[in-house]
Amino acid sequence: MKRVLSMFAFLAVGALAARADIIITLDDPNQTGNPGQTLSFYGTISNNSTDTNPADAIYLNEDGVTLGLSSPGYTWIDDLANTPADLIGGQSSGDIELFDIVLTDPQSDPFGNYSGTYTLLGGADGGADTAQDFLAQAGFTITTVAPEPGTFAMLAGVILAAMWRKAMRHTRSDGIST
Amino acid sequence: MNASRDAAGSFTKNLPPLVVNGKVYVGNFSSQLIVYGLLSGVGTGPVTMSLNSTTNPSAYNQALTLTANVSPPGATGTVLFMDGPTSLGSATVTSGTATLAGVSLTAGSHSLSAVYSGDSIYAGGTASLTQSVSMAAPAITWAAPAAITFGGALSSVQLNATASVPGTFAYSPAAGTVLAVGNGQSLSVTFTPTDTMDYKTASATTTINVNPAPAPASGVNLVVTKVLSRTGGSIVIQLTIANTGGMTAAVVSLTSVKIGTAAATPLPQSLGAIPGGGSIVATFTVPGSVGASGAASTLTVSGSYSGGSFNSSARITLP
Repeated sequence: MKRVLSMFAFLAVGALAARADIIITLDDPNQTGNPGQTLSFYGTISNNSTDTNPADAIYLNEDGVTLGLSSPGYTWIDDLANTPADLIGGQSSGDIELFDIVLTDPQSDPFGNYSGTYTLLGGADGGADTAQDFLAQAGFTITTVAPEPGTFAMLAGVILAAMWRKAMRHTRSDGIST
Repeated sequence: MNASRDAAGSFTKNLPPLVVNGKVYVGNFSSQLIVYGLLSGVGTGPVTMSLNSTTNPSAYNQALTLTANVSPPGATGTVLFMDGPTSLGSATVTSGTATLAGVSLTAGSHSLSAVYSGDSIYAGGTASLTQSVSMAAPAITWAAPAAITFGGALSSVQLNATASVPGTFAYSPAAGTVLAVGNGQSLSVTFTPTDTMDYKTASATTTINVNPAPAPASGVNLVVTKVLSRTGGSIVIQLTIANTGGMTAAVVSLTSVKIGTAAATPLPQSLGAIPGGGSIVATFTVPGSVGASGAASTLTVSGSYSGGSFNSSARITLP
């Protein structure tokens, strides 16, 4: 029962930096979930520049996800509000929730693994929110699974056996008393 | 130099003022010469004069030096330099020369005159010249911006030219444009000065390199960028969807575009296919009542493509 279902060895696609200064590191880029489950992606956004001048801060203005799962199959909950407005060189967001994927129940897509990309836009805008440089991206993978039919059967069997044994004991004790 | 009148009639100016026997006649009023000033104690010896400028034609803001020569060189007194009816300043005649430096004139044609006051020996005199002043060219400074990654849009980070005078900048390509991957792509700006009388429009160009984005694991990565404007009571949202992946995103459709909770129209919008390295633009509107100009909000976008979907969220300031 406790057997891990549909576990695949995915190629870790954690952090891919597009702009050398900004790095996204997802804590757990490869997650597995059942229909109805919410998969939370935590991670860290860092500015690896050595420029600590606040005037040269990199603004984190926009994020997005592309996922090879059809839109009815999930709901994307954005957590851009968790990210700091900007990072100067050497600063990090700390470990924060970046986005959630709520798997629809029932799933419209076949159970399986789906690749996605989390992208961050922004730039050294000087205080406004118009900078839209491609800053960084991080890959992730979602595996949608359902409890195996055999698991259901095994569980049902155990329950039925327990009920049968209980019923038998009850019948036997009734026989002794009469 | 101002003239006033106490009776009806027509007035015409003398440019330059006419000097006769120590009297400066600035114009005619109903055919009668008007005396502006009486140069007292002047002689009657005739003088000849000339007026020169260091640079003619010159440019706006270019400092000029005006030199009036009075002959014979023994003449003394002062020379009044004038731009039409406006005094530019005066200078003492020394060895037959009076010099006025640091003269700055607006762009256009100027009738300059030098009015010699005369002295006890010599009568006054005038000289004139037409000074042509062209509009100045503003200095534009625009360093080549750092390379960007495909999928991002041009913004004030790249389009950041400055000018030596106040004015407005028009860039091509405009802010919000997503450039394709490639090196040495041209950016240009046309600068229109606020002072269009004295400054010419100016332009400048530079180049930018656009690098490819890292390959996404899924083969498709749809990146959304935006340009917001307010027109006729509505907020216009121009979205660019760029595919930074190597595979074509087929049957791309935008299904939801919102500012805050206000849905944009028209939706859904089918955009067709976006090849890897390509982009496509779609336009939407939201009622301007969604918020006042300058208010902070969020822009959320959702869409689908054959085999997947995409979402984005951006912090925005309402236009």
